[in-house]
Amino acid sequence: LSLEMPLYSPWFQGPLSASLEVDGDRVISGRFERGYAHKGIENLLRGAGFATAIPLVDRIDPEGAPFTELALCLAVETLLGVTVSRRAENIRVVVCELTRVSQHLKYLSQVARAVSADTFFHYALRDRERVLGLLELLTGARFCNAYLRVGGVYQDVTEGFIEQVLDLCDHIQSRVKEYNDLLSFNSIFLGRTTYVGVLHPEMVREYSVTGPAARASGVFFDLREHLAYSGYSRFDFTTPLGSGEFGITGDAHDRVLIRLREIIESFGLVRQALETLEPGLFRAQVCDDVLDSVGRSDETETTAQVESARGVITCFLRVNPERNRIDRAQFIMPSLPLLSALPALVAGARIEDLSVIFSSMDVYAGEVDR
Amino acid sequence: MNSSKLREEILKIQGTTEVPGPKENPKKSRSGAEEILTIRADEKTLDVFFRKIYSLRGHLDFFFGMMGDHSPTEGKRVLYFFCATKLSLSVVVAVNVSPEEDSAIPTLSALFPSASIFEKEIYELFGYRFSGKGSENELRPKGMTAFPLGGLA
Repeated sequence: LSLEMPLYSPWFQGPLSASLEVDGDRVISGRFERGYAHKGIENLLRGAGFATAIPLVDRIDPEGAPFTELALCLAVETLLGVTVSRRAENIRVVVCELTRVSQHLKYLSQVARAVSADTFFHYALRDRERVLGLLELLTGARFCNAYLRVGGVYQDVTEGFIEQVLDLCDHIQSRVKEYNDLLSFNSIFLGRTTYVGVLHPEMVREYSVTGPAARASGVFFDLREHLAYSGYSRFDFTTPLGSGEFGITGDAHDRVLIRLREIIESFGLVRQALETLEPGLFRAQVCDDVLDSVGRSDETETTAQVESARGVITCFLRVNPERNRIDRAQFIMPSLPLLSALPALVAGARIEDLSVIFSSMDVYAGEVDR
Repeated sequence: MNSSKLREEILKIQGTTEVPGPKENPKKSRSGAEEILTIRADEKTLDVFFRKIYSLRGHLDFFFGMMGDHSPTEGKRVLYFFCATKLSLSVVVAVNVSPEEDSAIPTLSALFPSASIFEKEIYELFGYRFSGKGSENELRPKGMTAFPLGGLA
């Protein structure tokens, strides 16, 4: 029997359609169709100035906007030889980690919804509102922040922001215990998520899966540690890895647990970044740096990579010969490999587990199509 | 194996040349500790190159993905992104696409299944053919034969 899944299914984020071959309640194979959300962002970036490009790249993934902004800024800074101050690096870490927490809480709420754990769904969104409120206080927007700039950030941290963030850091510790009671170790939730959608460690490399999904499968891969961009080497944090505590390594439950642990680590990073905030410029004097760099480098191409909430973002950037505009900027977003791994995960799964598999893999169509 | 040894191993593969960075500004990313090695690989010996790269997967352990590109100076090419995570070495492989119409770039999807989804996208946007890949439309509207980014440089 062939089963066509609707284009706007609540199981996916954004328009993705699926055709499944089923036998009874078992899925034999799945085919996923993308291409309904092409925004042409990479094409719009052609000829854009560096400042103009920031709000454009935000639209690739509006909720995780600082990550794409950071990838682009790092690429431009590498090409032009712009040095970012420690203060700006710390502020970037704070914004990125708060966004990571916001995206992880959204992820937890979406898995909770997939297993009809409505109480947790509301609890997770309630705390996410606080995080989004803090991002709004700092950047002026909840999503599509357009906050990072080449050489630093748009504005310095606002008054009261640091106190409010530190307050939330303390508050979240008690919340995690609540999350664990409600969700992680709840027997109904365990029954729905353990041994479901198992992404084996060898599949992680085959399908180029990165981010929390790879780490949940026990593969140690975190660019914040490997590449230590944006001053991450100055901070002390651990990368949690999945070990199949309740089921098998790499199942949907591991992917949820990893996110919960990463939320704690992210708040640890936010706290460290704020406590070690040094006085200094929050944005480099880019014009001077650009003029300085023109004489000593003729490179026009580079790549930059950052670790976003879903995985690795690779940005390839080529600038024009005058080195003041983007000639071509392309992104490899983490959702594309996640989507390529989905057919292998759904083969052999039961139909009632599909919602858990799709929501726990966290494929976002906007990222896939760009 | 250290980073320079891995560089040597990669550059030993037939048909590969390093794209040198400017002398004053070595190809080192400002963003972090990683080095970027950009190499050109020959399309004709790409099969051998991929197999060698695959044999080095204990060190060059991650394949991130691919991109199509049409550069005003370098022409039509496909970029492959690899990473040696333990050595903090990023390897970007640039393969120039042959201008002959019936030529096809060897596929990487036999070694890395994730390449399939990238190859499909590059074919539909740029029109670069990959061996063993169909030409049906997945991203483009049905019946469209033009490649949206095919003529751009």
